[in-house]
Amino acid sequence: MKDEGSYALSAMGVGRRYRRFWALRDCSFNLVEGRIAALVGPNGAGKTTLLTLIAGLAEPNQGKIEIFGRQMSGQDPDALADVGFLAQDHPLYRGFTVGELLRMGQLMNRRWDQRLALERLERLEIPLNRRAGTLSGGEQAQVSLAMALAKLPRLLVLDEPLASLDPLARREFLDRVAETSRVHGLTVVFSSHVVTELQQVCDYLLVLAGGRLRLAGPVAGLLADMPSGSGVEELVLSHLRGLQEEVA
Amino acid sequence: MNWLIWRQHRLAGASTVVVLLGVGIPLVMTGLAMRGTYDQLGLATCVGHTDARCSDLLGQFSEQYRGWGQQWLPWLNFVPGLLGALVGAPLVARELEQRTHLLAWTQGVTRRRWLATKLFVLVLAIAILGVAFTALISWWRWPLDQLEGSFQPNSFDFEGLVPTAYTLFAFALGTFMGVLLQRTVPAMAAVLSAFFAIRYPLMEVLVRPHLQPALQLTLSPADFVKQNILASNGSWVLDSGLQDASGRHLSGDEINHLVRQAFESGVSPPTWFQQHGYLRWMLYQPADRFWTFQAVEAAIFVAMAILAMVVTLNLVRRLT
Repeated sequence: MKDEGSYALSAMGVGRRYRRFWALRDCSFNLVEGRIAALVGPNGAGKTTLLTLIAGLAEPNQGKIEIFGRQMSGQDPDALADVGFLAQDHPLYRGFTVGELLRMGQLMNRRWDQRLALERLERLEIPLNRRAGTLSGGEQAQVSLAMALAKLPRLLVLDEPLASLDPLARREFLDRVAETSRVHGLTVVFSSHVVTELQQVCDYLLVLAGGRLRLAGPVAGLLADMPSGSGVEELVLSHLRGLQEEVA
Repeated sequence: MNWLIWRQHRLAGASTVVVLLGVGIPLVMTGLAMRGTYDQLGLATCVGHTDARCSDLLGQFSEQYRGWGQQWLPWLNFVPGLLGALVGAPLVARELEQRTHLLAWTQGVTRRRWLATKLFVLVLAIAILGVAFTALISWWRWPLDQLEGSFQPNSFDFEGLVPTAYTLFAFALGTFMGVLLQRTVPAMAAVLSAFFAIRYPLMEVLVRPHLQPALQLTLSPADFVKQNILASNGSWVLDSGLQDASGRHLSGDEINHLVRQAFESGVSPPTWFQQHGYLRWMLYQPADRFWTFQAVEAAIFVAMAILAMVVTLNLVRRLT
């Protein structure tokens, strides 16, 4: 048993309300450092809401989120420094060149590894003098990831990072995330629709539906309870199907 | 952060400078011409007193230059509101629309500090430009101010402290509207209408004339020289009219009725009024209150600007 303070990420009864509508309720889980957690669920399940809370972009209406034992808050610069966030649709300042975006990151973060970002962009052949608005969706996602990694976060939060990538780039992206996690002990949480591709990298699964956490646990343990030969996809689907039958 | 602010606002900054040059260069040219004519006519000898020669010279000068001050300068009233709409309103609203706040607010700087730094730098830039441009306008208006004072709205609004205070308030209000409405275009519309409503009908028409109790002067209806002195010594005449022997102010209809009576009896109305014991009253703010009024009005707008910025900073905390 690990004591509570040593988790990379803890959600304790977290709830978030938009006016009267609860986008997320009673969400509790603990993530050990170094895990790569996949957050899956249908559209409108509350995935982005949960990731937004983890990144400190919003405060929960109920419960709290702790990152390495410290309460997450967008008002706390040290908490912000520990989290790298890649938003859905990877927004960038369209008029900025890639180089200017990196400079912005350098100026807005106390911890920043410029060389890491430069190497990564060089390998992907994304020139520094291109304006962000002229890059393809996949390239924009890569620039956003480079910025999130250059922050040297201890927890990386990615919202639908695979959506704008082609299959080859998805593989490369996931490999890269897995490698960074292995080398630096980085903890990763990412949301996705694409369940098939998760299995190769994620070792922890969070299934969200209707604003509630339906399943949370290490992939190996969860699969052990399934018929042999089934993968993460079957696991998620069987669980979501079970829910539908319950509702019906 | 300063580099980021410069990078995000260099276009707005350059445009502002171009606009100010576009207005400033003609101002310098006409200002030099106006001063030339002022010296050439020897108008300095007419400051503070009137006689036939002076009213003749003043007439010449007015014909040539007063139009500048009354027709063109008032267009500058739009500058603070436009700056509020073009720089203030998009400051946060455009980030929210383009979702770049998700990038900016997940770096190692809290959003509160991010916004506070932006506001500080932009307020400083606006204050510097505002003071410099106000100095230019005051230089331009100097000959006109010598002759007609600077307390009339047409000069008061463009001199001293208030233009800068208006601009700071418009900018802060624009930022506030942008955060409140979370959309750039509605925020632009909101700041333009709200700023003009506060600046003109509320402040200039309802509040400013009563910042200090106005003084009243009563004099003979036929004494034009004295009446003119009040206007030409730089006082701000708020209202004037006729009163009867008991001190009661006459209505417009009553005055029209009396004018008709005067014409029927073949006497010029001012003389007729004087003969029948009527007095002319003038309600005015004396010229030496100019700086008090400037300071009070500027303080009101700066206080409103600070309030808008504090509220905005607190609103931004709660945005998602």
